[in-house]
Amino acid sequence: MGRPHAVEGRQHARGGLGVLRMVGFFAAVGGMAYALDASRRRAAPDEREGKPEVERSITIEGQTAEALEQRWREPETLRRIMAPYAEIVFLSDDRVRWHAPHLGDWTMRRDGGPDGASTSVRWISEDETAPLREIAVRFRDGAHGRGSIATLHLVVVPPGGPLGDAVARLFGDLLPGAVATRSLHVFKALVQTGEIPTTGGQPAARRDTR
Amino acid sequence: MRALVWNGINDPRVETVRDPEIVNPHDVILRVSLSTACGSDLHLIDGYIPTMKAGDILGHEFMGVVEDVGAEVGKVSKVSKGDRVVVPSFISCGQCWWCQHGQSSLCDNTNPKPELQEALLGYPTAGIYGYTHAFGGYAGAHAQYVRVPFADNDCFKVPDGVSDEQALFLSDAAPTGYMGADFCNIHPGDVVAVWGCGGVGLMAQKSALLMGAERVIAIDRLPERLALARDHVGAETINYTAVDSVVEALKEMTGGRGPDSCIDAVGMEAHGTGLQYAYDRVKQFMYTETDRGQALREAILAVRKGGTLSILGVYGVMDKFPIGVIMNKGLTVRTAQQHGQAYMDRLLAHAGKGELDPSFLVTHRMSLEDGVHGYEMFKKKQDGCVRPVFAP
Repeated sequence: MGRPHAVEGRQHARGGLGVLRMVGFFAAVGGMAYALDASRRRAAPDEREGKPEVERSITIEGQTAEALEQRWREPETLRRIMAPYAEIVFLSDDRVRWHAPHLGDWTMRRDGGPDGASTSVRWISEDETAPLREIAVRFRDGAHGRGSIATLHLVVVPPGGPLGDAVARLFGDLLPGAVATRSLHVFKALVQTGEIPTTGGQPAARRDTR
Repeated sequence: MRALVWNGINDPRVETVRDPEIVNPHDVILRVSLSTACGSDLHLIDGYIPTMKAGDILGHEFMGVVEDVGAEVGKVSKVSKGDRVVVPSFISCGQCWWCQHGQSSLCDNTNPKPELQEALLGYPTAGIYGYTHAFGGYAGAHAQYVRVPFADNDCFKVPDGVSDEQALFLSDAAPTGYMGADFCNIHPGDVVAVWGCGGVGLMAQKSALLMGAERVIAIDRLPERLALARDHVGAETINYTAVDSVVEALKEMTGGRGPDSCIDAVGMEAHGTGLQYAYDRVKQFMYTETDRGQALREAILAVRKGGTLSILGVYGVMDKFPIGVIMNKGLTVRTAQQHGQAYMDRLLAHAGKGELDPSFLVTHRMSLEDGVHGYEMFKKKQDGCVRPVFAP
């Protein structure tokens, strides 16, 4: 009779120890990765009007800057790239309505770009309370014929007032940086392969959320 | 369908899950004929690799028959329904710079979660079947069916003269070992030492001889595995539990010079002895490092000055890594996850000519329903198990 309870006890202990081990791993590896990324510590996030910005780039082989810009301007491209974060509806060629679960709705208008460069696309929020204030992409030729470079620039204002600001400062550009990274990789995959890598809807032995 | 899934540390189970579906136009659905356990799967079973979720389907080494194709598949006349194919473990788009340069496990377009790897590795790499959400979270192939993206690039037809069991290991063990030998840039007269006589190690040994190594020396502790190295590969062997020092033994076997290249086919769960091993065990248990680096450290010491270290073992975070030894000996270090797509045509040609027959790796054949038992045997190396092979 004691054996089943002992087995359960060991299973609970193993589960609890497993959690501790996972926490320890992420603390060790995450801390190491953060410590090694010295640039993250040296440079505090740039601020425009007190709001955090993040910028990421990706090189896309086999495409000119002009071709990439044309592809980015297609409504379907922005819709598919931002689909994990928000539903986008084009009100016109130059105005887009965003709906993000838990973050609300806002409208963005297309701007000519900070320097009027032809190979850039810039959207600015019309709503000063919107979490995403600016999304801009610029394209330029890469060096030595290695394709073209797409640079994504985000200005993100976290919700939650002072608490949200404090959390954002604690994590720096980690979360918006992740959004920028994934968005650029999705764009590259769309351009180079015609599809977005996904595991959505695949089988697993857990509750099907479809 | 039935599938072998991960439910936590040391808790694999065979369960019923939904069948996969075509999602993207370059997908195929493969009816899995055979799949096998890999040593790196044990790192998942043992909980050393993070970002697995309960319910994930395991398995990244497989072959089968194309059951269904996406709208864009076959337009380049490569893959059709009914084709018997083998698929490399890493998913490769064939279009990005890395795929075009033969580095398919570094593909820029197949990881749906690049931000996870970017945080840990600096840059994302390719997706892989059944091997954590950091590597994309793709459903694995210990199942009756599996979805294969970019099929025209990643499905390789198996010629009639190559059996299912021969083709199976061209998915992972053979290309990994072959790549490891390729990294050594073998010249006539070279001596290559290989740590590990599991599937990958034996394939690395065989590949090194195929590539012209004069001698291959295999290092392990299990007599049945060392016998495979001698009998099926033609390697010389060292049982590391029977010598005082592997480094000294290799020096003696090479006239004091040391092997020209050393291949580590052991990885993060190396067995060892002594204080360093005890230190690694404690730190690994506490998750302040993930790796027991006994084999790798030994290889670094053993390789000759100016030689090549070829690392095939899967690693995470290692404490006490002797970078100074590497630097002062002027070593060349080459390592990667396997670039199977770059090697597959050569491997199929070798297999077709009978020059590379990996089927001797199969020590246990069983139904997928016995997958838990198979992994238990594989993990504990029971009954001489080198590779269990599962048929759904």
